[in-house]
Amino acid sequence: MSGIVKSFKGIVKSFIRRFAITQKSAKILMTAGIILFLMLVFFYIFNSFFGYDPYEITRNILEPPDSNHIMGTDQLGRDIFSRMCYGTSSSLAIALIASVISLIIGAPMGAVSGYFAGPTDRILSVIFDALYAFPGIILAVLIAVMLGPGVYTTSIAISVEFIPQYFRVVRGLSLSLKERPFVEAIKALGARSRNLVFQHILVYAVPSIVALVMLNMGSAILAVSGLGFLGLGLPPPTPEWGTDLGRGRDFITMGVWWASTFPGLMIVISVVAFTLIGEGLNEMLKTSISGVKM
Amino acid sequence: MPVPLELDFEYSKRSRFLQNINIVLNAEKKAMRLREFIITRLLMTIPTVLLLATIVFIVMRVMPGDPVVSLMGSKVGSEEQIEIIRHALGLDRPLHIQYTEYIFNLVRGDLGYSMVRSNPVLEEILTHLPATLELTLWSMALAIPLGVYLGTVAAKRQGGKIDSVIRIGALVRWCIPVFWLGIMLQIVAVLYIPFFPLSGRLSAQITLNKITGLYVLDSILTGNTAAFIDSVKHLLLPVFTLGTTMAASLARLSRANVIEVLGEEYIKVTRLKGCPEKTIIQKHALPNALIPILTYAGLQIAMLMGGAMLTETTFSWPGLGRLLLFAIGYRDFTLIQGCIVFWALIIGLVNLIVDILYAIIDPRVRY
Repeated sequence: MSGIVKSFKGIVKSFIRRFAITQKSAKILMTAGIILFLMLVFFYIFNSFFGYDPYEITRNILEPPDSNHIMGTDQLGRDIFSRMCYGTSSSLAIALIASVISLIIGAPMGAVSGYFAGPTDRILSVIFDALYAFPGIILAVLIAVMLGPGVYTTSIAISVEFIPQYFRVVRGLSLSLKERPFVEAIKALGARSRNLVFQHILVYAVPSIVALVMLNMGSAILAVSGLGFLGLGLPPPTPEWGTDLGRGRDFITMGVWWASTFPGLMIVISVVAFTLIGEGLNEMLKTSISGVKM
Repeated sequence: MPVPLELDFEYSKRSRFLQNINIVLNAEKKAMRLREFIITRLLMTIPTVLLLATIVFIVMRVMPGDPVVSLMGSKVGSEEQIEIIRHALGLDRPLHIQYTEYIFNLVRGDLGYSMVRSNPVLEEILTHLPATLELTLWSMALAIPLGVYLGTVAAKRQGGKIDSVIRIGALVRWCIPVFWLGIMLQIVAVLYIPFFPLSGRLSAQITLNKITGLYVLDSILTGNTAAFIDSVKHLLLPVFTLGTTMAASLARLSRANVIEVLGEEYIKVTRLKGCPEKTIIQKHALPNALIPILTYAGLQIAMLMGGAMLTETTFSWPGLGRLLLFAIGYRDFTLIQGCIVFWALIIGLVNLIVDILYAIIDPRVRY
């Protein structure tokens, strides 16, 4: 166990060192992403102390934005700004759980498949390639209907979309890493294959996986809101961006633009935040420790 | 002193003749290999389709809800009536028998009858396919030139202002969900520009003889000007919504690829020879950079048709995505299975075509 902790310490150190020497553009991307993310967190905290109750139904139905309700009210007279802020937690929670589930399933399978090659690799590759080529949203809709609405069920439905991605990336890394001298050295020292895969190869792949997680968080938020938009996300009173957007859509012919504009804006901001961080990390990883761009 | 290239004229002629023969022989060999390759690839799609069919079959049977209940609607039926319908749909038989029969019929190309609409599943799919196809094809027609053009321009001015604008624009566009962009366009259309219709494929008052089911093509074939204008008007917003999504990812990809190719040795040689920058990009860099883009575009067609589910819902577009959503809502087992299998087949086919094109375009690819 301590070996893994040690390796992770090394990874964090190399992350910091890399960040110091990376190009300006990567730094700008990451900083912008982090600022956007902090903004969402700030509004969430601010609103939970000073804002309206997101569940409170009032008689002020579909009021346009004014100083009282800065994003207006929805069809049940609830304050949209407050619902948007609360929606942050549910959308991000689902996206995070989905990413973690797909990471836990996809990454180890990819590492094993790439390292051992042979028939296991071929069977797993066929299965995951089939899943990868298939539009994820369709599988997500099917599974979301099968499992019913809820935070965990929606997360599972979405995670199916991303498992093949982790599998492919980690398998590729594992394929190239097993030819490296350090792996051969460890093998020569008599390490068991299991330890080699999980303590060395998988740990070595962590930086790439972190960048992928960040990029996938953005896609996962898009998927969550897509399911919500189709009415398959969280059950109605819970604030969730996609669901609220889908509800607000019914009123656009009446000229009510605010009920669908702001949920979408929140989705875009959060997706942009994670994508920027992911892009920045990705660019950073291209720069090796010595500062030479690979 | 320049060295004459062809010292021995006779020799070079002979060698060229031999070379030509070799090229012909190689081409024949290549064609043989290509045929083998296509057959292998076609065989490879079978396990994929069977796998998806099995997954869908299991998911259907585990899914809460019952097609019988949605068939009955609000009517309250006795136990006996429900049993009769259940028997008629074949749902009362053991699962393994249902499964074997389903796979057996599938292999024969029989997708069965829709449980709720009682039409053949294939017929339902084929009536909805043209709508999705029209949307997807026009989106591709917008996305591929736009994406590749923007990506190339950005790559040419790497690090400049135009590059940053295109990069950030593509990134932000990629982050905007299709349904939100669609709704925003609809809001603008409602409030400011009544020119654009909000939903559907054709206005109610316009009639059109359906030949292919692709309305723009049909209206041209029948010489129906009113229908042509109307169908194009209906297409504009959905195609813009879906097309720019794909254009954004294509722009990012082509930028990266063109930059990679521009750094290669042979480009440097061409530049040293004094070839103008425009020719370098158009004739030397772009063809090589396009190869990976082709694969990606193939994958994207599949994704577009799936992603069209959201666009179709936004614009009430009567395509395959909406059909599948309908089927899921009513728990129409046969229709859901049919849609998924059909989708898997299309994806397999598109990937096969892309692989063949890949092999033809890129002589380095071995199959």
